[in-house]
Amino acid sequence: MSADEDRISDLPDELLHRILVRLGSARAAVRTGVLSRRWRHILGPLPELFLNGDDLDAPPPPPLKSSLDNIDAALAACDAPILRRLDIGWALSSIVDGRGIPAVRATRWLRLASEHVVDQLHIDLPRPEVANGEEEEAVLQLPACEAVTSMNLILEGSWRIQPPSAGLFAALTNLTIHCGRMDGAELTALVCTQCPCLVRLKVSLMLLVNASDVSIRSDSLQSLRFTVWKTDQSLQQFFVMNRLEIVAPRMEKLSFIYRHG
Amino acid sequence: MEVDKGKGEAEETRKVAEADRDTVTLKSSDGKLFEVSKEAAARLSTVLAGMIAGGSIDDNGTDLKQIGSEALENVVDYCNKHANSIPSAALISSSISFNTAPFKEPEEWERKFVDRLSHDALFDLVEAANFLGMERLLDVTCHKISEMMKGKSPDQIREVFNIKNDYTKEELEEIRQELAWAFYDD
Repeated sequence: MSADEDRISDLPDELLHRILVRLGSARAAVRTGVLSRRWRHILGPLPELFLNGDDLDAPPPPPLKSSLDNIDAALAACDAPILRRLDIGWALSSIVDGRGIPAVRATRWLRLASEHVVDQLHIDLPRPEVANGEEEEAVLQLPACEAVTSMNLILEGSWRIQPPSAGLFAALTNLTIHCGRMDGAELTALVCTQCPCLVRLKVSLMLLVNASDVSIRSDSLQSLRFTVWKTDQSLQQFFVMNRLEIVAPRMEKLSFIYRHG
Repeated sequence: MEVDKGKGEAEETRKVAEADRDTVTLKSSDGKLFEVSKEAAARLSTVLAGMIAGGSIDDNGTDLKQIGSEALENVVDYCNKHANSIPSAALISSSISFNTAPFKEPEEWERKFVDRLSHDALFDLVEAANFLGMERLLDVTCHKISEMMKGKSPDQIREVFNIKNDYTKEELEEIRQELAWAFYDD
């Protein structure tokens, strides 16, 4: 065999597909489209998956537990290794079911999304399931999604978002976090070091823990909308003792709101 | 019965094996004969399993005209090693699914097995595994190939695999724009 023969391009599509999936990176797989014409359509058009906990079995709206199972089943049945967009959402009906979403399930959806979704991720979560009701937090572990460009996390109730301790949201330009709880230092690390090309950030937090540790430094950020309903310190203390540092040379729009929660 | 580990014992094992009829004989495109554990062949290759079940195995050497002797030797080696080294650990075939990752990482010996292959031998083995319906071997070999691509730029990948870029400059630019999010750091 001649040493400069192109053996890989002669493999059937299904094997190339298998090889691309094994790359473990949706972005790396998509990038192979530029190798040559042969590689352009191995992955085919990337599908978009819209899952609605209420619609999957409607009507009538199913109880929450079965809509959770439905979402799991729909994800399992999706044989596309790479999705351009994933939407998981609910209408109001299943939220009144009484229980909430178990954190392990939500965390697993996010992990799947981080491995398979490129481009757009939209996850809408009703309140979490907490053991004894009350003020307990449910930790939603956010994995590094390297290929997602736009992420919306719309949360209800006491979800606490925990960004990854390492890894990059390397492609992320738009991030919206609505109504979660976050730690100031973790938010700082997320924005300043883990999202190198973030352009638009909307964060609306029900509770900001360690608020004094927040600092927004970003060379790419152009638009920031920052809303905090409550911090773990009294508001007065927050204003007197602390300051929020924002260093963003390209900033064009800034909205900053503190509310009494 | 014990199946031989190395090629050195092959002759001796063949005699024992034929008496027990625990092996099948496979013939490469260039006429070389190879012995392989019947149990391992049936378990690892859907095509061989079908032939064994259907009685279309030729005791004098089942013709596999699409597979050269070097690749067939690797296939047989793989089967025999597999028969020896894998206990009951479930080797689930790898249907690619979104939810679960049934792909099991290659074992240490499987990694070494493919690492020692030359570029061409690796691709010959992928093609042989594909022809014989050997899911696990396909996984192991495809995994190896994907490792050869990991972390490389398109130019580097083309170089490793001798892929000729047949796009025009304009086409390439168009694709890069379409997939801009995948090339943000180039």
